[in-house]
Amino acid sequence: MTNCARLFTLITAATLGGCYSGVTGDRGGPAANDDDDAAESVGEAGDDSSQDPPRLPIPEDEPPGFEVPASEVELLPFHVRMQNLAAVTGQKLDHAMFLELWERRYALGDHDYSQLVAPDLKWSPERMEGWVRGIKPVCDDPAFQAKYPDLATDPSKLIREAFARDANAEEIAAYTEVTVGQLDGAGRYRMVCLAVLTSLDFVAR
Amino acid sequence: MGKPRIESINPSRRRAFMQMCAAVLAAPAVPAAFRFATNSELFGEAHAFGVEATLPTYFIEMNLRDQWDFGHVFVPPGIAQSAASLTRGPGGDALSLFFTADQITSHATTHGTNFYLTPDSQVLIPHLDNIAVVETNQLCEGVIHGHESCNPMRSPGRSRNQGAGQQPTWLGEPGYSEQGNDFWYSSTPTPATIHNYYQKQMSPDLANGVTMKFISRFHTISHFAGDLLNAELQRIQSVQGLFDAFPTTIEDLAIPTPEESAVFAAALKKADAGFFARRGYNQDARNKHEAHLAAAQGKWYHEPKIVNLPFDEPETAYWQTGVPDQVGDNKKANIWEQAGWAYKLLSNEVTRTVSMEFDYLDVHDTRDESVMKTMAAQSAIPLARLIESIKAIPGMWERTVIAIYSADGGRSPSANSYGNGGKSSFVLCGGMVRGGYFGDVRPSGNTGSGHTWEYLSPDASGAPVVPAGGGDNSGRLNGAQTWRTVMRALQIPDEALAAYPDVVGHQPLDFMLA
Repeated sequence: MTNCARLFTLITAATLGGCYSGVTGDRGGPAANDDDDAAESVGEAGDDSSQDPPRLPIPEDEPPGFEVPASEVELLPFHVRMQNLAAVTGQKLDHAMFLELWERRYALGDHDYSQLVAPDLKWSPERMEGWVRGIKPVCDDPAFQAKYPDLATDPSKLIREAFARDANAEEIAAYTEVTVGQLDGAGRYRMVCLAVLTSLDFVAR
Repeated sequence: MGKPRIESINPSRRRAFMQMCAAVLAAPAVPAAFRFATNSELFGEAHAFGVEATLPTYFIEMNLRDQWDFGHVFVPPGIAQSAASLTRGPGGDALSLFFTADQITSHATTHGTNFYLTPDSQVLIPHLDNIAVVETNQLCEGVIHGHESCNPMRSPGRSRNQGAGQQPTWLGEPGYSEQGNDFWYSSTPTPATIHNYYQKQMSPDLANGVTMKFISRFHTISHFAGDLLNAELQRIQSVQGLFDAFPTTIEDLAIPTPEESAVFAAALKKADAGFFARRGYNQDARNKHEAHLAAAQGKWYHEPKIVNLPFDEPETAYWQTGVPDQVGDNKKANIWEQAGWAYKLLSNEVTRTVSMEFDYLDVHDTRDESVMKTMAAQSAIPLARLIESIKAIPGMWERTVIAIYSADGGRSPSANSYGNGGKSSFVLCGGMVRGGYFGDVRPSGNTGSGHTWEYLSPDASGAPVVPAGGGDNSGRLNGAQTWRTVMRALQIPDEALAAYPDVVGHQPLDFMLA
């Protein structure tokens, strides 16, 4: 792809992505839906509170919403995942760290109804591979690393931002074990980052 | 026959040796006859058959939608033999066949069977020994004149009402809508999906099988895994998506070593453990996710298999010449392209399962000559080139199966016809297939403007003697028979099929298999 084409893709992606928000407020946690009103929170870092994000009560006379099938995990829509990444990283969606993800957007489940490409929210092995490839540049980016300097040894801040809650002991153990075999801090950092941002609590609903 | 040479190897090493032999001999470049002879020499003749069953098979499932008509490709004998006296034309109940009787040619196969072809299907003549056709199959039953995404030949027992042990078949299809597809439940996996499952069991380093979802509208094809874990095909919705899924170069692996990949998968499994209860998912969801993580472990780090899917000029000329473009609402990819990509994926051993999805936009009331000729060229020419290309690789054709379905019902021979009656076509091709046109469609009366038709299903020997309903399933072949025929051709063991209640007790159509 030429530089011009990449730039066009980036601008288009950013424009489209800006229509939605994956955050439920000012905390950077995963969104429950595609609420446009939350768009202004894109790019803002969450705080360090360990409280669950506020949720509006559902009126009793309102019909039940769409029920997610319980027998298979379903991903958050691609644009929601991207908005959540923007919130977690504190960067706008046109930041270069997201370029790889935008280029893989349809493989990662995004849609383009004009081309009869529907959302595909299966968390398949192929999509897991593509997602990890896509977020590697995020984990390697200096801006991300500046925000989470201690990630190699303490994943709690990233988990709080990404999951909108504190990690439990099992999760902390898992994100510690993922560093096994890494010879240096850079390797440990990357593995923790990849694991947190690939975990179901971040990518699925 | 002397003593099998395997017995000269220390018993403790035999298993590894046999696995090594199977892998070496499975290469497409090894002719089937040589492979069998070698297996016989090494393991003894009786055991050679068992070793053969552990070798790979290659599968192309060609799903043609909007009630595809092979009327210009395979002419039923009863129509071919009476064509001179039939009223032909593009409307009403006239026969939608636009060739005269003298243009329809008869071709005997080496199996003692016969075909009638038109000028539009002459390209298939070299391959007729390995092409079997039957059109009196179970009818499609979608609420809109038969249109459905499932097809009883592809998932026997599928039902609109969820029976015991049945699951939704549509959940894997992106953007699925009811119109023209319907919501079907089943317990029987669809052919490409079950084949994908068994081939990946045999060779875990294979890329996942794919289905190219290139139908031009909201109509689709359901692929259904049932309870098989990691069997689902990768859904490809665009040409770029296909190229992205199989890039021509791999510059960087997701995770650099297999050890790190294993650690990563184990850590995610542990980290994700609490998610399911928190979000209300059941144990099935957890089992599937953990199976996907295990498969992803082999993808984050893997030995890349490179295939160059975009066509160069000679390839384009070969696959495209004479094949009309897709006719539809939103053209996604031509069928000649799909055939070429399927060939490249299989012949490069990237995957062993490819499903093609294609359509000719639904035509009602009148079907003129261009409709019939276009459908013929779009089905016969790519099929001939697929077979020719696969035959050029020694040993591969003997292990390849191509199953073609008029995926949402066929047509009666009359121009104004719909897929909930008439022909319901199934075409099976492969080195193990006994070619022939089985069953028949004959004119049963004159209406003044056209004809009525009678349908004859093949009996167990393949003879066209069983009266079948034109608009109901009486006398028609049960979808389970067709399904089991494909399974037998794909060498999926019978005992593995006992888990599917809707196919138990049904036998393959042996007259279609060599």
